[in-house]
Amino acid sequence: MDTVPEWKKIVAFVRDRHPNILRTWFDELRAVGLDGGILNVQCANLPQQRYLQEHASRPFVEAAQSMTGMLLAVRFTIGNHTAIASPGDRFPTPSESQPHEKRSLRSDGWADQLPLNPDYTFESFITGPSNRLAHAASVAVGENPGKTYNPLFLHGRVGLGKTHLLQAIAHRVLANQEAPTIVYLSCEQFINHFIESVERGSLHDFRNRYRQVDVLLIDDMQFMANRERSQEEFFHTFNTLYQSGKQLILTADSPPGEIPSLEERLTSRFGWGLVARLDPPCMETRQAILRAKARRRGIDLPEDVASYVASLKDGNIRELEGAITTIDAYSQQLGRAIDLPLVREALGQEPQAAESVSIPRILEVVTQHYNVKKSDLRGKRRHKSIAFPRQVCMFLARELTTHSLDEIGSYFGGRDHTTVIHATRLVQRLMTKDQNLMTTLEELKSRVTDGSSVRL
Amino acid sequence: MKLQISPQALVDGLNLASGASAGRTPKEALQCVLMKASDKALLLMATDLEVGVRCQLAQVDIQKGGEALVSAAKISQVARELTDEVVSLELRENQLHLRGRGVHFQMVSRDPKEFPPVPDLEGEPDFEIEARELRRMAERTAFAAARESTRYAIDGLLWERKGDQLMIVATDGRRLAVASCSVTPKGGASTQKDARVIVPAKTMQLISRVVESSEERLGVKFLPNQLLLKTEHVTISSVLVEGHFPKYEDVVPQDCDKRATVRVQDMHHAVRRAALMTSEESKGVRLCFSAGKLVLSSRSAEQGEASIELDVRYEGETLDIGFNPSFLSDFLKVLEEEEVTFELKEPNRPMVCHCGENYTYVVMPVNLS
Repeated sequence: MDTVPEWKKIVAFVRDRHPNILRTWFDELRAVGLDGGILNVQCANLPQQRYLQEHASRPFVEAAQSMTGMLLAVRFTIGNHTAIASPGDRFPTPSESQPHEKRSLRSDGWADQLPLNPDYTFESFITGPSNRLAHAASVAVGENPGKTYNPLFLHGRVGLGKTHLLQAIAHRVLANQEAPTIVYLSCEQFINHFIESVERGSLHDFRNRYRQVDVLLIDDMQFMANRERSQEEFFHTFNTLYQSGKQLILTADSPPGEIPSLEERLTSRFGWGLVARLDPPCMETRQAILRAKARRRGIDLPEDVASYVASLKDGNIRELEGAITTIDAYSQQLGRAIDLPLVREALGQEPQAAESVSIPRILEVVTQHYNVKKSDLRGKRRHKSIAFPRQVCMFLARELTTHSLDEIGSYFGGRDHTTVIHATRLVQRLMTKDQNLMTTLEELKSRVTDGSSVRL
Repeated sequence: MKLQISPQALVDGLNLASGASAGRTPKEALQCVLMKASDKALLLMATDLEVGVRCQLAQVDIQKGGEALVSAAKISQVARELTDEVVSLELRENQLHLRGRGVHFQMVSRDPKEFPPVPDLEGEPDFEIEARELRRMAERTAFAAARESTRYAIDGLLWERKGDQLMIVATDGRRLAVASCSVTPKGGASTQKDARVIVPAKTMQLISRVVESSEERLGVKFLPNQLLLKTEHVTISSVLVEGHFPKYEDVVPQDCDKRATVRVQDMHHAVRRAALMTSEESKGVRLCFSAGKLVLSSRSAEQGEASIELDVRYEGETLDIGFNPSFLSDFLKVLEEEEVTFELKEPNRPMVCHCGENYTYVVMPVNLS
């Protein structure tokens, strides 16, 4: 029972005015008291509290002020949902809520580890034929860390749910166990920690920290490529944890064997447990995902709309989410309900990334980035400062357009198709060796496909 | 104890000290003032265990040191009635004798040991502040503090120190005032630390009294659960209110899209006039903002109606919004500036008033329909 009579109206106000921040668990939030001009709102756990503080603070203040006519502030506390607060109850004091806070990610010295997203739970994960194995394995690991599949290695392309499953495991372990030590971080953070501790000469601390966790989750292992010292350190960490029965969960964009220059001994170890692949979801799964995402934002998505959108977009779930955002914004602006004609209009004008990429567009982005003249790239000069950007252009043209080798070659100063093949291979080879080049190329690619040119 | 003092100096000191003594308490010593004569000065002390005052009177002629504990109310009344240039105070066998020309009061002095210690500010303060600034801030915030504690409000004002800035915030759940000024950091132990404490309303009243006519600088020190303020002759100590103060940054809306600038005098006058036609049932005054014009109107079933128009610089769509007129005039009355800016959003969202850089006032509208 709520101690604030206006609470239902406050939630309804937030639902109405700020659909973009809505989460299904908003229904479970409770007002536990009004004290000293502060409305105390209780949520279930730390990730929820963080989400509310970061994204929902102003909307709730606005709603509370409008509904009560009082100049209120809102404070989010963590509490036990099963306990029923009587009207006289004060909000939980810090000491009362501490047992719950303890059941969070390690905080001492781990301040920079990734926060968990409260939305990424097993309950919100939509399963289908494409991800059934990965999901089942993750649930099993979440229930019995260190006992079933160890290590669990999830791989798949971007936007297929690797991070979602990883975090869902962390949530499940946090919910089931009393004060487990969970460390969740990106591969890059692991490497940075390592480099820092080498520089500071505190390698011992580093080892102690990583080798005393119960569950270690590392996202995006492919960034280990070419990091020999980090790989070696990780190898030892892996062995220590593995031998003491601690759970390791790793994700990457490709299977262990295909991560470039990953040491043999790591590759083989990653295969000891279970390697599960996430495939792009099929049509039905996409529809289910769309409906679930829409429901979470409080949007009513008709069946035909969901199937239309699902047919437009391929596997990437972020694209699906983007489509919902577009549709929602469109319908709110026009004040029309979401139906098929509206969705066609909203998504119709959307530039389809693959089609809009042209060689001149690539040329523009690359010349901007390397600060060279377009005419030089299309000319005869073979100086290195010009040849390399030209090779990058050819590589990108190969990757992003459907033009033939000859077409590409002739555009860049009437060159032979073998020149284009050479350029593509060269860039590919350099890319596997040079992390910086890889990120540069990723950035150029996204600029080309975004159509957003950066003015320097 | 034996000394000579001017009754006027005694009255001034007692006025200040008796502000701290308890009104009603089973512990009678707390209704008393402790007078302590040392070599150079007479020290008056009073406390209700929450707030304490130490007030030093220098213009006395002390013949013999000692301590007397007498009723704060009674000795103040007596001192006020003395007309002589100089009176003498003497403690003999638990009786305090006040003597002037042809006057003799004899008052019971309790055992000074019954009186609790009143803390002094020891060591360096955390920071110093101009009495003038503190007076201004107190004046600009205290009116917005809660008179009686409801669940919407707390009896206290927030003092927040960030580096060389001090902010004082008051709210009663319908309005909130934030005033700030710069302070001079000093070498106190917690100099580097930012602090956020809630000061009881009673302490604020006492502080206002101390800084009323003073042009000095005050040293301020935050201790765990205690605030200390010191001028040359007076030290105020106060316990702090425990609890959470609303985060004022959250309370102040950031999404206002309408803005009006108006002359303070005109606005105050208009609010006072419009308030004449309000009654218990219809307390609100309607403000109708449109381009270049602000119309204040009020209506009371049994009295009649009023409408006052004034010039305003206004950007945004036309807006109709109602306010409790006393919430507006409380604010307008303390302004020394020429102009005030109102920021608004919707009829059910708070109005933000800015006056200068160091003063913000937020007020909830009332429902007019």
